[in-house]
Amino acid sequence: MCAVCGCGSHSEHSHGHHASHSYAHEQHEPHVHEHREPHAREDERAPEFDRGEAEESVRRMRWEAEILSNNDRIAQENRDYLAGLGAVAFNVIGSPGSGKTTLLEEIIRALGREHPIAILEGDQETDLDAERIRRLGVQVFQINTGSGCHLDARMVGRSLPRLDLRPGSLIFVENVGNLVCPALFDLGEHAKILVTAVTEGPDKPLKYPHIFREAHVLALTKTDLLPHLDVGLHAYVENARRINPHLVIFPVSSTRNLGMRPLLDWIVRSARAERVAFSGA
Amino acid sequence: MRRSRIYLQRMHELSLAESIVEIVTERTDAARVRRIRVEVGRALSVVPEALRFCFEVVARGGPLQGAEIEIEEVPISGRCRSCEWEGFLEGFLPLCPRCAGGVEMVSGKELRISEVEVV
Repeated sequence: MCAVCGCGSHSEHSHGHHASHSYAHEQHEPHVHEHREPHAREDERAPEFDRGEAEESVRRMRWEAEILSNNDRIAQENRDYLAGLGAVAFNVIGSPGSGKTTLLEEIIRALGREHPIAILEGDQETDLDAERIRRLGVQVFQINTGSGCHLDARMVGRSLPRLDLRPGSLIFVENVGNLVCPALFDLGEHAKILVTAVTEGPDKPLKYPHIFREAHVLALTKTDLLPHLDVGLHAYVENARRINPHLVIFPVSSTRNLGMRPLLDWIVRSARAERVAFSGA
Repeated sequence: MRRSRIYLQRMHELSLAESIVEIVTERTDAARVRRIRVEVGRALSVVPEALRFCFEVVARGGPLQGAEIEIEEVPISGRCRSCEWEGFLEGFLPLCPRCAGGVEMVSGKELRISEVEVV
């Protein structure tokens, strides 16, 4: 019988193999007969087994199932949900200690009066970051991932209804401190803001290329510490651009309030563009 | 009372393994699945050995227990935006080896179940 589709006969028929697959049909010589029905792409029909055959009958099904399809579907639902409310989300990603929370505190101080801001805090344990944010008087919801190394669309989707969102709301989702895992998971955000401190060294883009490729914006933080390092800003920018020529880079110091204005303007402008794109208003 | 806790440091491979199990279970009579073939792009920092390990952990005790997972790593390839160059890239830098122009990635970001074998 045919090892690919499990048809009980010895016909010559095509399964549309792509060239990259190297396995061979090991069981039989080419044979001739006709299928009664055309094969579906995913052949779910029960195979007609050759009763007399000693070998187990095997049916191979060619799939094109995206492993992240469930996450991506929920992410799109999140995006639609936010669009319906006129709210826009940013996925804030960076290593532990890169300055994500401090940057968010500065963003809240600068934009909080004019824009409703809500924060989703992803951390493996504790609500220390959420506490810091709460002190600034904005809404914050803590997602503890436990041993999880990233947020996924489902966790965010469950949390969004806990926030009081309105037209113009800016939501910042602070992902778990990690440069590898969060890169794979769309949360339904409008843009990924990558946060990397100059103290992490200029080779970060080369070591973690996937997240630098996926990010829309890089906030290069702690620039006030540059005088203590033996590399200049250009080394960071150059490496980041080698990986992603489209990356928008903002060198900032959150604690000294240096270089924040261009980043804040970008946030406000891109959120407005997103809302216009959705509502035409 | 302190609950003992199985400490498995979660990695993204674990989430991917859970998705694989979820998708395959949804679409098949999982008890009869013998082999699952997945394509994993090299650009994604997904470690095949970790994925295999996580799959075995996630599948344990369920209908997919014992199914074999076969991981095909897809190399990073691209097309130069400036010259006509097309080919495989060494490493992650999207730079054309011929003219140093920017390269558009053609493959290397795959993350899909490409084949399922049932008995």
